Amino acid sequence: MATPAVVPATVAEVAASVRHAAAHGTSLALRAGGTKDRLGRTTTAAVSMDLSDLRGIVTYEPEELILIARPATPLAEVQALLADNNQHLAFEPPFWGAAATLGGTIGIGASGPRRFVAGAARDFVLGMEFVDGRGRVIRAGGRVVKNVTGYDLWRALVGAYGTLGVMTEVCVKLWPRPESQQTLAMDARSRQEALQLMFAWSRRPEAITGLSYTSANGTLWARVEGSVAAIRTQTESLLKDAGRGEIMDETASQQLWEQIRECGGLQMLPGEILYRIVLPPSRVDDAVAALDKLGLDRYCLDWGGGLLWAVLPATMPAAAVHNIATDNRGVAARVGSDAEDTNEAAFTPLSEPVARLNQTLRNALDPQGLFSPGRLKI
Amino acid sequence: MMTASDPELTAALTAVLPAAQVLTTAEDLAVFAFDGTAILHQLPACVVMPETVEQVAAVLRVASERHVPVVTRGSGTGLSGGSVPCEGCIVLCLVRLNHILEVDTANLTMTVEPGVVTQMIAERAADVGLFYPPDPGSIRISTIGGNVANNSGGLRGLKYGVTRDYVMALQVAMADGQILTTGTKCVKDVAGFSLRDLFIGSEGTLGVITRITLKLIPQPAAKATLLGLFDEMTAAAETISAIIAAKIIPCTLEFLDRTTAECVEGYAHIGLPTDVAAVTLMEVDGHPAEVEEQAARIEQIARDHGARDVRRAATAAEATQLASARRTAFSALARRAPTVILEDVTVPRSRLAEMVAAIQRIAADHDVTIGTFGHMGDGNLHPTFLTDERNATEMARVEAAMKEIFQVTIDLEGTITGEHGVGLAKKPFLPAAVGPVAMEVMRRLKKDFDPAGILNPGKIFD
Repeated sequence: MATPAVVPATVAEVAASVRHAAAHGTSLALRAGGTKDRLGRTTTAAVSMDLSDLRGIVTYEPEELILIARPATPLAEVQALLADNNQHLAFEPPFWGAAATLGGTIGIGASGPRRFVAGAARDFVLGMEFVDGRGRVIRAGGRVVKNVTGYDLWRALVGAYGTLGVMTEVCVKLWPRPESQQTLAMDARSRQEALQLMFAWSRRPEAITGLSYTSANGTLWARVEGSVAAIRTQTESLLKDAGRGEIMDETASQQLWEQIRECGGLQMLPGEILYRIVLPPSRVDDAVAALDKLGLDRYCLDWGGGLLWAVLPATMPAAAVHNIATDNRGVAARVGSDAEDTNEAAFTPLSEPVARLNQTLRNALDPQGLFSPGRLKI
Repeated sequence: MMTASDPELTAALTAVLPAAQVLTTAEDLAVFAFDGTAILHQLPACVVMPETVEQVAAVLRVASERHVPVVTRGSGTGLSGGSVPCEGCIVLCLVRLNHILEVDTANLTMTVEPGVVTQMIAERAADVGLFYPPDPGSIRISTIGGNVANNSGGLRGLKYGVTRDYVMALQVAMADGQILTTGTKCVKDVAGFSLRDLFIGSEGTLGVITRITLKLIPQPAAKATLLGLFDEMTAAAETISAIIAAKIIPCTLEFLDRTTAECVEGYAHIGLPTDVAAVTLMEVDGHPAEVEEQAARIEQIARDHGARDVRRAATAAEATQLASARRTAFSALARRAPTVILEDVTVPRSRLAEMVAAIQRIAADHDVTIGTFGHMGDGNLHPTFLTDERNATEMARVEAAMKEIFQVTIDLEGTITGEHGVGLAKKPFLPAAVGPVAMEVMRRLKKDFDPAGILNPGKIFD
């Protein structure tokens, strides 16, 4: 990890630090809570830009369904404030650690179990203020859902892993928090049976906001959210459809999905590596079968089959997993095991023309490649 | 026969396309000289009607070699002049690339060519019990390629978002004819940067969209439709805020001002009183039990905030009739004047009443007629000027009023185009809206993506 650190506390200080870095050709590793270090490749940046002092909520307008905050605002703080007003971030961001910040969440574009119905992190970012690689402040997007003023450059910062620019303020769209939730837990006879039910249920008009399957205990989980009156009839209808299973009450359901949200509830043990593979749900069965041949130990399916968390032996070359993702029209991300793991092969390689346009975009916003170089391989 | 065309260009194009797909006669060109925007028109050098992606690429290669501008269009319903030809250009009309390539009910996606009319997509989705939510006002005519290139909105923006939210993957032909794919069928994840987000809303200036994979969602089980009549605009605005504060997210929250309501009643005869200050159309969808509960609460909230009357549709036919009050707004206004200029501003929801009051004051100050309707849920308003482009003095007053409306919008922390795009009409106002640095980065990207500057030049910025 890069040392020493610059610690800007205002957007003006960020801009000044970036200009200074640009003048000296010094690359910067952007970070705050440090919970996402194992995601993506290790940056080769010379200096760490610690954004921890850029924190706090700038504007919260419950009736406008928006919140504007500085990037290092703890995600837990945001969620607590929203919960007090019966609102939430509908993309259900995973934390990856208690110190998670809003900026880090947007920076890696992290979305949780509700994503397959509610949309992804990037769908909930309405605008931002950021500093580009020349140290200039750009305010882009806005605070309204509809805004088509020119290219949405700033959207590329969502999921850019701290490359492209330094977010200094971010505006997110909020949603009312469902009144309650219940989950149907059902022992599936096989992965195929679980997948069949997941596919059928993801097409139903019920408010199913979680559809997951855990290989270790062969359980299919289906969460229904909404008003107390409405969810009861819906979980019962699912139970009737499945023919067996148990309905978990609100508290148990909440705890379950908090676990699934974090890496499908899987933990890496020594000698293992965790992969996150996103693919069309119809290809997940083939992908799991192919991973089985590589020594797949356990896995969790989320997003109705669109997300596969897989634990494999650390000895397995990452390229083999990326090939399986590509063969099944998906993308994989390797999760680094510890601070020593530079995670070179974190991402599925891009095709040549796409890689070139990625570089073009990077050149436009950060021509010297100052921000978190190496983190994303493009 | 008179022709506006360049014979060498025509020869180069007919070498890569059947002659019947290259239009060069004056009468053929005339119908492609404009889009849905009032006042703007320009004859192109020629029009090509490719039927395959390979033909699109071939046209782009010809254009690149000869440095001829290419203006891509579908049905030409744009309202900011984004597909109005520039001088000497090739109009690349994609309406024959109109196949629905796949409806994937396992992955809940539909893959289409850009020339498919959006209504067809909504209908095909409904046929298999699924739902494609974006519903721009032009849905029956406009094509999905145009919707993506402009990131079109519609009546369901608050709850369901806009076109961008449903685009999973794009195939794009770059200026030099190279074809690339960005995004996949899997919930919009990519390795690297989200290039797809850059092409969406880029108005044909960065590449030509040749194939689109869209996300579909389950069809909601139930829906309720209510119409509220208000004597005060502020009461209508407060009702909308109170509904959202009550944790209800309606799928439709639309409104008409008095001028528009009068026109609609004269046109559609649905029994609207013509002395109301605001009419609101409010719809909720979802699980039947929840819909019932929410509809009852909306009715109560509207009455508590002083609604003169709240009508609830008892049947689907009645719902369609109530909804037609809003759906016919543009047509109803359009028949009142020879020139209709439909504007498109968005302000934070809490500033809606102020914005509508400002529009009314500006109309009076400049002695012009403006009917306003729009999407209250997402703050997107369409002040609509009823005028006559042959009347130069009135047009000058319209111009002045429009500028003032944009200024008020920016003062209220809004944006000068919510869903129609920048095109030509909003180009002069963009620098003030986004600032010099963003302008510089956009220009740079445009130059990098399209070095010869052949893709829809002069749109969005110069």
